[in-house]
Formats: sequence, C-alpha cells, structure tokens
Amino acid sequence: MTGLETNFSGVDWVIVGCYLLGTVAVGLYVNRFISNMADYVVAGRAVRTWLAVASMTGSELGLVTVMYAAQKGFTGGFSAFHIAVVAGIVPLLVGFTGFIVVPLRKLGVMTIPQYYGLRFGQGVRIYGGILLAVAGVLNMGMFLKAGAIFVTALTGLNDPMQVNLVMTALIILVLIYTTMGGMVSVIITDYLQFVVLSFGLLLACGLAVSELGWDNLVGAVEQIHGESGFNPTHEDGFGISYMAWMLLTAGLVSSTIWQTAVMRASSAESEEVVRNLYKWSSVGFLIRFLLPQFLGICALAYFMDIPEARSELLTPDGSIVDSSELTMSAFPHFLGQILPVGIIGIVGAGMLAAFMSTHDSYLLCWASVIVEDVIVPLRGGEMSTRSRLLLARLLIVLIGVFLLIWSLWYPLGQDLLDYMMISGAIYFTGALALLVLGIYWKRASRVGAYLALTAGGLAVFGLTPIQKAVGLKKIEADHIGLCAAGAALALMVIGSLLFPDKETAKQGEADE
Amino acid sequence: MSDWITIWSILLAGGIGIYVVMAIFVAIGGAKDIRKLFRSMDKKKRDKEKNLEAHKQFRR
Repeated sequence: MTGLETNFSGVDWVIVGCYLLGTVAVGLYVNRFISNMADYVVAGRAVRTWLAVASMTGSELGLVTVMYAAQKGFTGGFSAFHIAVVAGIVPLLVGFTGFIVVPLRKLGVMTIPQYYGLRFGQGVRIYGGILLAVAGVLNMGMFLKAGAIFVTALTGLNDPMQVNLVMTALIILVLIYTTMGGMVSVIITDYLQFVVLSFGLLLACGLAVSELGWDNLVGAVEQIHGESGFNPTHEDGFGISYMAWMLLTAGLVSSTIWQTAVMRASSAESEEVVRNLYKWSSVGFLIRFLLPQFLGICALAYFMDIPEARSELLTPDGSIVDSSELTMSAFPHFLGQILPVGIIGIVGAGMLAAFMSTHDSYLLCWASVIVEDVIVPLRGGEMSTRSRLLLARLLIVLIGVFLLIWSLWYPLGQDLLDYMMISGAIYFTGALALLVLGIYWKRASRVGAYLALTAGGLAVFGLTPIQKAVGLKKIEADHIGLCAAGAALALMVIGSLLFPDKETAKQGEADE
Repeated sequence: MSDWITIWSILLAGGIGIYVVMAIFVAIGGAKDIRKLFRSMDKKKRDKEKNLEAHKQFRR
C-alpha cells in the first residue's frame, strides 16, 4: 500500500538479526547429538509433553498461517472465527479418543506412507510417498511469497532486490540449521518461536483493541461485510459447504492427517504424551487462527479510516478488492503502524522465526518422505544411515531451490488459505480414506488404496490457474475439495469390496 | 446478528485467556523438557559409543 510509513527502525533490524543468528547457533549446537535417522527425523522419540506442545504450536503458528488467517479475517470478518472453532475442537476430540494418531504411534511409524507400506504393501507406500511429497512441496510453494509480502510491508523495504535478498538469506539460514540439527533443532527453534510469537501476538491484540476500540471493529465489519461478516452460514459469506470444508481441512486433516502433525505425534515419548499433546495443542490450534483473524479484522477497521488505504483496499461499491497480494499485505502494514519501536523488532523476529520454523519442519518432513518412502523402498530397503542422512540433506537444499523459483512465477489468484488447503488436498483426500478405513476397516484393500490416492489428485482442479488453463468456469475450491474427498472414500470402499486383498478374501472364505 | 457478536466476543476473550495461561505453562515446562531432552540424547550417544568401544575390544 502506498504512502504508509512503518515504525520499523534500525534497532528493530538489530533485534531481528541477533534472534535469527541465535537460531542458527542452536542448529549447529544440537548437531552433536545426532547419531542416527531416528534422532534426525523424530528427535530420538524422546520429546516430552510441554516441549511437544510448544513445538506443535510453534510449528503450526507459522508466518504463513498468521498471514493467511489474518487475510481471512480481513476478507471475511468475524465469520472467519468459525475456522478457529473447528481447528480447536477437532484436536481436542482427537486427544480424548486417540483417533488415528494413537494407532499410528503404536505402530511406531515415522511417516504416513510408512503406514501405507505396513497396511497395503510397498507399492502403495511408494505411490503415496510420491503424491505426499509433490502435494507437500506445492503446498509450501507460496510460503516465500507470503514471507516477502510480510517483510516488505512490515519493514518498509520497497526495493524488490532487497526483499529477494532478505528472503534468500532466510532460506539459507533455514537450510543450514535444518540440515545440521534435524528434528532436535526444529523442536528447539519451534519452542523459542512459540514463546516470542505467542506473547508478541497477544501484545499486538492488546494494543490494537486499545487503539481502535471494540465498537469500531464491529462497526467496520458491519459496514463492509454486513450480516455475512458475523454469520458464517450466510450465503453471501462463507456458507455451509465452506464450513464443512474447513471442518475437514483446518480441523481433522491439519491435526491428524497432515504429515508434519503426525511427525510430532511420532516424536512423542509415549501414547499418553500423544493424547496430552493433542488436548493441550487444541488451544494452540484455536489460537493460531483466532489471533491473526482478529488482527486481520483490526487491520480492516484501521485502514477504513485512512482514505489512501481505503481507496486501494475497497472497490468503488464498497466491497473488498479481488487482489490476494493486497489483502494479504494489510495485516503486516497494520503491525508496522501500531507497534512501537523495539516491540515491532521482537514481533518481526518472532514472525521471521516462525517463517523459518515452518520451513524447517516442512523441508525436513518432505525430504524424509522422499528418502524413507520412495528412494529406500525402491532400492529394496538397502541404504546405510550415512547415505540416508546425506540424501535427506541434499533433498532439503533442492526443495529450497525449487521453492525460490516457484514462488517467483506462480500466479496465486485466490486467498492463500484456499491455495494451501487445495494443494494439500491432492494428498490428504486420498490419505484420509487410507488412514481412516485402513485403521478401522479390516476389508480395506490395496486396490482400494490405489484408487483412493488417485482420486485425491482431482483436487488439483481447485487451483484457480489450473481452472483457467483447462477452461473451467470458476468453481469454488471447497466444492472441488469436498468432491475429491468423497470420491476418494467411495473408491476406497468400492475398490476394496470388488478387489479384496488375498489374505482378506481367504479369511472371508474360511469364515463362511 | 447481535447473537453472533456475543458468541464471537466470548470466544475471543475466552480463547485469549486460556492461551495466556497455557503459554506460561508451556514456556516454563518446555524449558525443563529441553534440558531433559539434551541429557537423554547425550546419555544415549555416550552409551552407544561405549558399546562400540566394548565391541571393538571384544573383537580384538
């Protein structure tokens, strides 16, 4: 947005620099503890409850999450809070029931495709591993863009070259400490980031309310969004199908099916720790949407009173402009306006650490999946620990390079949250069917698993540039995602009934 | 609409309140867990090195 000064100063740059270098030092320090793949990927399965909660929340409360959640608050008003509600309630239920995550922890698997291998055979493991890695890397594709928008808006850097340099420096720092320290450094930096960002965001909320006042916030949402800014079921706003899509994605998938969450469960010391982790983390899952969405609403109310910003963010008829980049930048611009010098440096450092933390978790996760679930099974399980670690580290660097390129040329064309959910759906719609039916239905078969994984690929048509490329008229991402999830479940059942596994078929004949 | 405003304001106040308490607990408990994690991994690594050394001596 043009004509807005930021409070970000030289002091804040020093705070950010010290903080980021500190996190790299942690990565280098913990490298001394790594002696095998289990230490590297799941921290030797020695993580206790509080640290696991901090790590889970820290990893999920990333800069990208904060950015897309704030954007939803900005574009959807208070109605967006329904996403926070489902994101908080579902993990709590998972904590009490142990749904999916406890059986996975009992089996001792490190990745979801590893479970596919145990339940459906190595072929499904490799196929699922490829799909997971592709969807996962695509899902990260916009992280750098979101990070660049944040840095530009918060710090006031306007030269694209400077922003690119900052982003490249950040990704290099992430690559250094992730390749060195694996999950141990990821967990420690997640913890630091949890502490800084939690208190930073809480402080920002306090300052925002004292500056704007609750009544002004409600008034601004009413003026821009009307009834749909408060009622999520309203068809002019989110609507029932979008809420169902969020229940599935922000609720069930992000806590139980998404690989990074499963890795936290796998890193836990015991099943009891897994259950406690989910019960406590449910607050974190709620807050990671609630606070940024609220700050997005605050940004909306704040900029409505500034004529230059208002003319950029609203169309002449008073609705919000259809530009993902602009609506995403409102939140960091707002932080740059309301936070004082020093505090803005701490919050900025926390956000950038969050950016790095999400990257390290995801890079480690997808590199591990490619090594453990694709390359090692293809080589018949024969690969030394040293080679696996080396390969994982090499893949982390390669994925990092891909992300730099992808974020530069891909046209987003939709809200960041919708891009994230639909790119993730390429994998998780199939994974949902395989995990739920694989764990809780004995007759689930290999053919059903292949069909379900393939059906998940339909989700790719929820991406706006793909819809334009194949000449589809605009179909909402939530409709496509729900259809893909339904198709995956249906094909899993049909495939399993028509083509049961030999052992299951023999068991059935014996029973008869 | 006023019902929704009430619901969302309660959610916001309640969520923030619970989170403040949780953040304090997690910040303190997490620091203790980090110390325990380092000790446990350090011990595991030393045990592994000891076993390797014993194995080498046995083979000699």
